Amino acid sequence: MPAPAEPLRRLPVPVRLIARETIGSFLTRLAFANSLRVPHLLTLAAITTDQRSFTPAADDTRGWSESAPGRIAALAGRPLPELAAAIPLLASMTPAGTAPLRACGHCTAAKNVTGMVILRARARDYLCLRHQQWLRGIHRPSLTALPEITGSQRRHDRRTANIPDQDITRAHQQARGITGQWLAAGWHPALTERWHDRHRRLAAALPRPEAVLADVITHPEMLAVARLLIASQRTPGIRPREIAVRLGFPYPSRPHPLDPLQNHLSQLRRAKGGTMGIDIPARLRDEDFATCLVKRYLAPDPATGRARYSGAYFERIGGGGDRPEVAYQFTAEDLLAVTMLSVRIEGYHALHVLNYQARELSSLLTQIPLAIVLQDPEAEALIAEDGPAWKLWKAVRHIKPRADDDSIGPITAGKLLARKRPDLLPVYDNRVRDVLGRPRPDNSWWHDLRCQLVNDHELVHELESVRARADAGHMSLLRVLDVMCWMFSWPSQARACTQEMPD
Amino acid sequence: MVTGDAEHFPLTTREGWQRFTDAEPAQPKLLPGGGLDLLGDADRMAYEHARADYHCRLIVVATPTIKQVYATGRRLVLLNRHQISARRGLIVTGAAGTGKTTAVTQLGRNHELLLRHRLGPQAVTGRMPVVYLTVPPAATPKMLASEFARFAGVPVHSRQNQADITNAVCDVLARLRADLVLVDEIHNLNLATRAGADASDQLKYLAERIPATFIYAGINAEGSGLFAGTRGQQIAGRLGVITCQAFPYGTAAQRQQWQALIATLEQSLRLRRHQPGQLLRLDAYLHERTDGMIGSLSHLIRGAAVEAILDGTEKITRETLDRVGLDHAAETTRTRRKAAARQRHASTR
Repeated sequence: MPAPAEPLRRLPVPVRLIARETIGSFLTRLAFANSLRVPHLLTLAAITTDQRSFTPAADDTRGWSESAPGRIAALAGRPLPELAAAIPLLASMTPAGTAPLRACGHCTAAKNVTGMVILRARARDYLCLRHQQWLRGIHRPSLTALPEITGSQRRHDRRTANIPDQDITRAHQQARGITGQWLAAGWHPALTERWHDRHRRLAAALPRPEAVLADVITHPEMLAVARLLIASQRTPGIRPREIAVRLGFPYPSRPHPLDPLQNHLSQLRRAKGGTMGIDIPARLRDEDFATCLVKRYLAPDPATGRARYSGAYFERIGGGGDRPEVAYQFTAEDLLAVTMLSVRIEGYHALHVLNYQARELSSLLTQIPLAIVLQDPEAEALIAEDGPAWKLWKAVRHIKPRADDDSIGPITAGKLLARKRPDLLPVYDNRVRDVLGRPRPDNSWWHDLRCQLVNDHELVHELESVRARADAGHMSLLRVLDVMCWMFSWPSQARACTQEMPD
Repeated sequence: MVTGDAEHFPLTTREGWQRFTDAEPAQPKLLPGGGLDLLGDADRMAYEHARADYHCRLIVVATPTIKQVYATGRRLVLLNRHQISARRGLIVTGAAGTGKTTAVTQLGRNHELLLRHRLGPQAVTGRMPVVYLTVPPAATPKMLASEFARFAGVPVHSRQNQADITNAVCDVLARLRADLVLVDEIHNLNLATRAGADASDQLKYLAERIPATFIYAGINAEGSGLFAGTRGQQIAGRLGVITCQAFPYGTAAQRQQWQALIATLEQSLRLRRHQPGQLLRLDAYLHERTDGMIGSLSHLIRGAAVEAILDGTEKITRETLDRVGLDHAAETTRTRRKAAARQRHASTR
């Protein structure tokens, strides 16, 4: 549509500029202030957007002619750079990436602006700090009854001042989901109690109970979780014990594996291919203590003279699963060996491993060299998700002979693989997971342990020392670590070792 | 960008009125003869041009009529400030060339400047204290509303009807706190026609809607039927009348007033060889030429001043004044008066 030919004059009633206002809101205010209909003003500005798609929240350049920005500036009676400094669309000419937000009514009224003002919201715009007013949603309760909300927002703004907006937006969305689940399912009683208290205080201060929003009462915790997620994005290896400290509110140091936050952090690690530090308890880094644990594991029961733990024979049965003559196939001895670690492989499952799928499994085993240890550079490709070790673990764990049967499962499959390649693939079970504070599901265990061993040479030396002192030369270092953790998970054993230790 | 140049906006627009209000014509300094010789050709031309430009402008003299209009208008604005209805107004009437437009525009300008002085320039940025418009010929209600919109700068769409425009104008002017509306050329309203009567009603309606004092100016408003009939009675009930007249030259007091006017105009002249009092001695001639009309007098003196600059004489003499032609009305009156005098002279001989 051609621009109107008549000369443009500044409209008689100027409107004040509000920072980050949407162009739709600004033009609507300009039209109303000058008693114009919005379509008339759009025509004057050479904008052909139809009235339906043009609302105060509109913040794009659909239907704009080339001269539209200049004409808007002429109608508003302000230089274009001055307008562009307040209206982001005129500066960038790109639509908003975030949802629009109604500006704080007290702030706009203080500037003598009446009526609704819509802003291009930033990620951190949840509330008006000056007037303690919640800004998101239809109900915008006053937060005077909950001063901690504005306090937390102030701290959050200060701490995330240098974080890009899009990172904050993403983290807030994810954190909101997590705190929402915590609230809905009552994951953490202390938190739930805190939120109920806020709910009571807010409801008492508001005339309408529906104005009490879940987002409001969980806001400080949401911000804390968001900051943790931002930190996790940058350094994925945050240890579980640090999480509680970083959150700054009551949060278990050993959270449930299905806790939404734990779940999210695991996904984050997987998505980024990052590593999570192995959180080995400090007590296990004490060589004497660790040696004691391994010795007790291997030592026979003094009363009977027989093995105290069947697992002590895991490597010894049949001379080991990694003997060259049987290294590339699963044998009945391997199946028997894993039962030493308190798992069972039922008959049909055994048939599949030994017979029906033997060729497929052997083919994968063949691709995993014997001489590789987990710290070696070659190990990285073997344990990667498309590597032969990973494929073999998946193939074994999903063996499900009949519809009614359970599959072998990840723990048993892992132990079977640890029997075949004890230096490359570690044993993993629930006790190890709990001791090391691993998430659930834990799909990065191999990778994380490898990184730990590569980066922490001290740990490797400690394990070697423990192995030598415990006279466990037949065991791999990985297995030594597994035995240490497993024994440590039993309080009685840990206590016994503590008592045995010289003062 | 398609924006209007402020220089081209007439007085009946916000921009034009702003320019008129802000205008403070600087008086060019008179260089002595020697100083002029020191100037180069270009500088000399620029100097002459600036002086001619200065004399082209209307030099406003605070005549008794202007003083009266200002005093009355100012009083009405103050009186109407808290009136919610039936605000009082004023009609400035009189023959053509008697200074009606000058009187009302000076009232408006002074009012706006006073407001700026009182509130400060920042405080009046969002205000439009004065509205000035002229009634178009054969005015209809819609045309009148459009004139208001044109002054304020409210864009009018071709499909907008009279009510839309009127509402928009009233809202905007109320928002801008207009408190003085000057309506010139009121004689263009012909109450004898249906459209004229409707336009008169529209003007009255606007005066009710816009919380401002309305000052009208027009030629012989009393004789144009503006105060006749029911509508006229209502108008007459609310509007005071100030009549602008030609300056008389009969009594000594009247002559003194006329001479004071000429002296003021003479003082404003910037001619190098013009001696003060030279023009004052021609007061009888000037009255005879202009018939006491201030508009004609101003035109005559300004024309003569420009003529004196152009021909290099740099002074106004009777010869210079003779060379300046006046408006038809003044010339006709002069011819008629001369003929009457000749006839009188012939009959007495």
